[in-house]
Amino acid sequence: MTDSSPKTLIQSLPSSFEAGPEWLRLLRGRAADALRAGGLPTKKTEAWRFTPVRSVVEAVFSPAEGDALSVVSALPEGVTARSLREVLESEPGLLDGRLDFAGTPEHFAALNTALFTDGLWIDVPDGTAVDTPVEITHAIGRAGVSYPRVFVTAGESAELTLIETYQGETVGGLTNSVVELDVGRNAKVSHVRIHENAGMQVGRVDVRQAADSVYRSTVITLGGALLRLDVRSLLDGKGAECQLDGAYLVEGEDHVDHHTRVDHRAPHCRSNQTYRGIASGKGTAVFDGIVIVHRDAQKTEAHQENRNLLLSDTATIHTKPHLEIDADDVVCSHGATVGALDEDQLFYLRARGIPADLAHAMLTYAFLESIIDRVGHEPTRTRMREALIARIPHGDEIREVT
Amino acid sequence: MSSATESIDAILKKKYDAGFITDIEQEYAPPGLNEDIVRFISAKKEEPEWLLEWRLKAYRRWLEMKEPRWAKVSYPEIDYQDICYYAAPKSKDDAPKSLDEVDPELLATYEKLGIPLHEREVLAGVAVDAVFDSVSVTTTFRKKLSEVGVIFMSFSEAVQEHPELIRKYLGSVVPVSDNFFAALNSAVFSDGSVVYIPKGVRCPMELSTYFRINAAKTGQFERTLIVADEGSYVSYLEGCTAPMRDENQLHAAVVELVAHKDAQIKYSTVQNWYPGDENGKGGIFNFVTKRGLCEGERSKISWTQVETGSAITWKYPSCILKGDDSIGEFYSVALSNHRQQADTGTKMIHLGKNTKSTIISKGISAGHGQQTYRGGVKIMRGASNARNYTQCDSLLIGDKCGAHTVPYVDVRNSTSKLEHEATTSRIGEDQLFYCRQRGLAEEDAVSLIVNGFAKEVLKELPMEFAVEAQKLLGVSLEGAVG
Repeated sequence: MTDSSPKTLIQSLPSSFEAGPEWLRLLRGRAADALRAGGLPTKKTEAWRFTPVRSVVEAVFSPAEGDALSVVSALPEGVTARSLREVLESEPGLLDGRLDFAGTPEHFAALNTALFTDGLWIDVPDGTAVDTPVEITHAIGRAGVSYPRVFVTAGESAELTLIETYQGETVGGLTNSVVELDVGRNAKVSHVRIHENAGMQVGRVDVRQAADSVYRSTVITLGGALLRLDVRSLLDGKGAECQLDGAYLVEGEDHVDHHTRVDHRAPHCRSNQTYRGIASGKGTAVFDGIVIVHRDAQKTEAHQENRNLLLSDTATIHTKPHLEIDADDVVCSHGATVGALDEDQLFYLRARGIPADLAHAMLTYAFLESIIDRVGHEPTRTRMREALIARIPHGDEIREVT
Repeated sequence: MSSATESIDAILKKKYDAGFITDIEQEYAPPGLNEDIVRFISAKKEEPEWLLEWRLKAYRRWLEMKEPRWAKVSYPEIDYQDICYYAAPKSKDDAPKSLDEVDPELLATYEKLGIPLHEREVLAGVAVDAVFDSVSVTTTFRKKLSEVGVIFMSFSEAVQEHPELIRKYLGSVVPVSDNFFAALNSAVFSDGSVVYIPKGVRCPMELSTYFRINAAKTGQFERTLIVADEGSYVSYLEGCTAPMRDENQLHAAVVELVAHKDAQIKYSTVQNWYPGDENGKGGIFNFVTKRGLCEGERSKISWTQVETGSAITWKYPSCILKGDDSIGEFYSVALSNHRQQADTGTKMIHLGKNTKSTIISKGISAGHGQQTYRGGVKIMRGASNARNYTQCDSLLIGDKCGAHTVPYVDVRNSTSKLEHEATTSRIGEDQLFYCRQRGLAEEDAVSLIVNGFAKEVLKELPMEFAVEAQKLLGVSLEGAVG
C-alpha cells in the first residue's frame, strides 16, 4: 500500500481489502474483481465511444493522499454532515446496504467504490426542510487521482438544496467522483453542480427516488480537458418527478461529455431533461441521454431536449438522445438541434449599434443562461450566472445589461 | 384486465393470412459455405473471372468478420453452414397451373391488398407462362425501355451483356467489407436487378420488380444496382408483398444506388415477408444493406419504405451526399405486431456543400412487437450550409410492445443546421371514442388512425403502391385495438 511509484488506474487496485467493515470490503472486492475482469471502457464500449477515454485509462498517476472535502457554508439547522471514514469506523454497520444502492457499479464508479478513502455523508431527517443551500467545494490541487464520494440521504418530506463545485487549475490530475442521493418519499432535493476545473474528471451521480419525490439537477460545465459526467435517476416510487438540466461551454481542445439516464420503473412519474451546449475552438461536446420506460410504468410523461450551438468549423458536436419504451400509456418526446447563432437575432442586436463580438457574446450567454433560469433558488442562480459570465468575453458589459 | 385489453389480445392473435407453402422442385447446392460453393455459384452463372475473384475476396473478408449484435433485436444463432446458398427452380411443372389451385385464403389476402389479377398469379407462383404470357409483357416493356436506352435486366443477364457497367459500379457504394451481411451477400448473391438510365433520360415508366420475378427467381441474397446518369430520373418499386416461399430464413440483400449530376432516384419498398406466427416461430430474418451515393451536384436520392413483414428487420437505407447541393430523403413506416422485431432507420452523411436531408420515420408497435428507430446524421467539416430535419414518431398499441428511438448526431460544420424530434404515444382513447361514436367498427377506427399517423410517408409512395400500403397496414394490424 505504501508503494509510491506511478501506476495506471487498474494497477492501483490492491490485491485485497483489509480495512473497514466487512460489507464494505466485500463491496470493494466485487468492484475490483469486475474491473480486473472487464477492465475500464475503451472506445469500443458503446457508452464511451465518443469519449477519448484512452488518455485516462493508459495514463499513470502518482498515488494521491487522502481526499479532503470541505463544507464551505456553515451547516444549516437540521442537516448533519459527517466524514464517511469516521462513520465507517465508529458505526460500521450504519451504512450497510445503503451506500452504493445502485448496485454493481461499473467502470469508473467501480474504481471509486474500490478506492475511495473518505467522503461525506449528508443526512436530512424526515420532515426537515432546509432553506439554506449546503455547498461542497472539491478543490482539486494535485496532479494525482482523487476519489471524492458523497452520500446524501433525504428522509420523508425532507427538503434540501445541494451545491457542488469542482475547482482547480491543475491539468494533469484526475477526479473520479461518485455522488449518491437517496431521496425519500415526498422529499425535494435540488442539486447544482458547477464544473470549473481544468483537469480530467469522470463523475457519476446516482439518484434513487421514492414515491412523490422531486429531484432537480442542474449541471454547469465550463470547460475541462476531459469531463465525463453520468447522471442517473431511478424513479422507483409512484408519482416521482425528476428534472435534469445542463449547460456546457466547450473551448480550446476541451472534451465535455454529458450522459443522462432516467429509469421510469413506477407509474405516474414525470421526467424532463434539458441540456444546452456551445462548442467552439477545437472542442468536442457530447450529449447522450436515455429515457427507459419499463413495462409497468404506465402514465409516464418523459421529455428530453438537447440544443447545441456550433461556433467553429473545428469543433464537433455529438448528440444522441434516445428513448426505450416498453409501456404503452405514455407521452414521451425528445428533440435535438445543432446550429449556429441565429442571423436574425445577430442582426437585431447589430442594428441597435451593438458591436459584432459583443452581440455574439450576449447571444451565447443568453443561450446557456436559460438553463440557469430554471433553478428556483435565487442566490444559487446568481452564483451560477457569475460563474458563466466569468468565462464569456465582454462579461462586464453583459452583467450591465442583464 | 380491461375489456379493451382482452379484445386487443383476441385480435392480435390473428394468423398471418398468407402463410402457405408451395412445393417446387428446386436445384440446390449442398448446404454450407466454402470457396467451392462460391465457385459453384459463379460457374452456374457463367460469370467472368474478375467477378469470381471479387466474390472470393468478399468471402475471405466475411470469414474475418463478426456478426453485428448491436441492434436491439434478439434471435437465435444463425448457422451459416446449414444454409443452401444456391437454389433455382428446376421446373415449373409442379407449380399451380392456375389460380384455382392456389390457397383461397391467400387469394383473399390479395383481394384485400387490391393487387391486380395477373400480378396475383405471378405472386402466387402460378406457372405464369401457361396462363398468362408475362414474358411478352416483359418484352413489351423492355422494348419501350430500350428505345430510350434504359437498361433494366436481371443481374445475371447484365453481367453477360453489360460487364463494363457492372465492373464499374458493383461494390462502389457498398464495398465488400462494409458489414458482415453485405460481405456475405457479395460472396454468394444469386441474382438481382440492374438499372441504368442514360444521360438526360426520364424513365418512361415506374420500374418494378413484379415484372421480373418469374424471369429470374431471385434468391434470398439478391443484389440491386441502379445507376442514374447525368440529368436522368427513375422511380423504382421494390415489392415484396407476397409471402416468401423459401424455407430458408435468412434474407440478406444489398442495394446500391448511384445518382450522377442532376439525376434523381426514387426507391420505394413495400416489404411484407412472412413475419412468423404469433409466438414468434418462423419468419424471415431480413438483414439488408441499402445505400445511395449522390455522386454529382444537385443529385437526389429518395428512399420510401413500408415495412410490415419479417420476423427481424435490420435495415438502414442510407445516403452519402457527396455532390454539392445534393438531397437525401428517407420516409419510413414500420410496423411490428406479434413477436416481430424491427431495428430500422437511416444514415445521412453530408460531405458536399448545401446538402439537404429529410428523415421522416413512423413506427407502429403492437402485440409483443419491438420497434427501434436507429438513425445517424453526420455533417462533415466541408459540408457548409448543410441542413437536416429528422422527425420520428412511434405509436404503441397494447401494453406488451416496445418502441425505441436511437438517433446519432455528429456535426462538425458551424454553418450547418440540424433538427431532430421524436415523440412516442399510444392511440388516444378519445380518438377511438370519436370514431366509434360515429359508427366505425373498432378495427376500422384503428386502421384509420394508423393510416393518418403514417400519412406523411404514404403520400411519398407512387399511387398504386400507396393504396396497397394503406390496405397492408390495415391487414397487418387487423384488430389491434388500443
